[in-house]
Amino acid sequence: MVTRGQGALRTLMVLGCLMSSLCPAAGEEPEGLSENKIKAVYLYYFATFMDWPPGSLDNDSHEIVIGILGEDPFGSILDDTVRGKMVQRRSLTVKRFQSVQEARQSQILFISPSEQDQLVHILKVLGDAPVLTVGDGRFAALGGQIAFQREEKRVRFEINAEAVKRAGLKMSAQLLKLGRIVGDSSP
Amino acid sequence: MSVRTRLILGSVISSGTALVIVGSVIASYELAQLRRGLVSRMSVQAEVVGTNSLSAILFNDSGSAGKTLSALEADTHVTGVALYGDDGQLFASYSRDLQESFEPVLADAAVGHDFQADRLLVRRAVMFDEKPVGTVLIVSDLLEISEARSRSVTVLVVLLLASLLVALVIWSWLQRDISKPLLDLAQTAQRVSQLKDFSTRVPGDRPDEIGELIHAFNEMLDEINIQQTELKSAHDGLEQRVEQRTAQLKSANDEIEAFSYSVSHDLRAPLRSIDGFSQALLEDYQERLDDTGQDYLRRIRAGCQRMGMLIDDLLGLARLTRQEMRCETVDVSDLAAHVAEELKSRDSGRQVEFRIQSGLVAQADAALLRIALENLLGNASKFTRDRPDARIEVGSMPSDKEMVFYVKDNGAGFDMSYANKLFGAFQRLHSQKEFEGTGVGLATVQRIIRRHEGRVWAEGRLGQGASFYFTLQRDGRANEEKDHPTGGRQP
Repeated sequence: MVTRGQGALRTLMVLGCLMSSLCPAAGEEPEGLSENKIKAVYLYYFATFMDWPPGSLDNDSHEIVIGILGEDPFGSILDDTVRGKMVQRRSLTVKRFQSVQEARQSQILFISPSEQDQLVHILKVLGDAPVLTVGDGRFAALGGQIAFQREEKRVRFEINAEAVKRAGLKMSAQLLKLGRIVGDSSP
Repeated sequence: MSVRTRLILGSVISSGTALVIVGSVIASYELAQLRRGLVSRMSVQAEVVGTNSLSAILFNDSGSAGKTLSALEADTHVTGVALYGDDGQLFASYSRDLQESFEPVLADAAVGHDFQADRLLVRRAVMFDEKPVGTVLIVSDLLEISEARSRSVTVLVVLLLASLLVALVIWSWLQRDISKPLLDLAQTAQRVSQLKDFSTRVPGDRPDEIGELIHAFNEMLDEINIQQTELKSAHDGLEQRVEQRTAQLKSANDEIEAFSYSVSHDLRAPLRSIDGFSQALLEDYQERLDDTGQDYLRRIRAGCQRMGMLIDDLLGLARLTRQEMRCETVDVSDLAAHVAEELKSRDSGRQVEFRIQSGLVAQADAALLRIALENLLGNASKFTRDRPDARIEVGSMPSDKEMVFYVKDNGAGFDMSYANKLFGAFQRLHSQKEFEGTGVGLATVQRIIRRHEGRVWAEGRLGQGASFYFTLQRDGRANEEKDHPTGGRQP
């Protein structure tokens, strides 16, 4: 059982950490976090609710790679977000890819809206590779696994559970229950 | 309160107190256990809710969090649960039948639990990456505890009553062993004291204190029995001895009286012959005797006459004690007046004032009382002879038990230091020349009054008169059947 004193202290410390890591700099967007910042954090969170097949992780570098394919919308936000973070005792690394082939080595791959036209091709190249693909808009319906959706001021996401399953990944029920589940054939 | 009631009451009180103490301790321990149990159960619930809500917090999905929270509906004691974000803002909440309204901002973020009047608050942090990202607050009612409390109170009361009943039954059975012999003992003691039957014994032979008590009681009765027997035999012996002594005394008394009577009687014959021959000498040989011889003979005759009077008085005194008494109501005033008249007529030359109180009555033998009054009034008359204003009073003094009479004169009186000699036979305080007499008068008075079971005493001062007091029975107790003609009885 956690005593009151420890709990309060911990809460304070944590609030401090969150302020520095999650909160935007003063004056940037006073009403809340920017959409990109939220997406960056979500990418990090996705990592925590995923299980990759044992052989797919690089045991030498001990890292989980979050890849960005195409034009990078985050700038340094994503790097700042995952800096120092550990998931499944692996450090998170952000890598930017220009080719799909290279991007196969990442565990989570954010496919930039700039690659919208190549999407079918990209997904085809990736095939059943154990990569959690994340995109925007109707991405999930087109065969991607998770798609961010802007709803008012909130960012929600769709999950194509079949696609996740096809890639051999296991997604936590906690994550599944949050997303809107869609299928390949969804319009 | 009887011993029986006390014993039962004592046992019931002691066992009841013990039960209440033990019951309260067990109940309060159980209650503490229940509270601990409730806290730990709610903590687990909070932990589970926190874990299940983690993703919802992270992805800012309060709808999903609400669903997770409402899973606690299954626990009927949970009245509400709230999820606060890391900024302390209310993120999601569930309230059973809208019982709880949660504050929009968490006032106390500290984890732990808090018992309030009728609810329990449990707070748990939701951790992500070893950092808290929110707080779960579960509110539970205390029905579980209050139900358990009332249940244990009911059980305790039922248990208490049942065991008191059992204790009562056991004790009323046990106490019979103690109080029954005590009651028997008390009953026997009462019977012994009422019927004076010391031969009764309490039955029962026990190896305990009550047995000792019974034994001691029986021994005491034995002792009383023995002492009573001894006392009775001593008393009987004493009675016998008293009877013996009385008989001896009576025969001795009779002998003395018979002796003095016969002596007095027999003394008369020689005295008569001395007197007679002295008279013959004086008459027949007058001319041959000179004056001195004649004077001697006259003196002899005077002596003889005086001795004759003494013998008469002595015989009279003896007769007094032998005479049978007949008590009746006597008018003492009347009797005294008759005696006074007689005295006046006998000595007509004198002027004596008699003051006799009227209405004096007593229980007495009239003849004997008359003799006593004759002596007392005669004495008074004699010793006032030299006074021109002679006065003799007869009266009575108030007294509760008996009648006290007095005969008072203003005559020669006497010295109080001789007062004890006054009533002795032949005792005289004055010479024959001063006042003639034999010294038997007051002895006679004393003997008569004593036969009436009364007392006689005198007061006086030389030259200032004398008072003679005597008492008589007021209610006629000195009656015939009580009176033996033995005389000389001391009151």
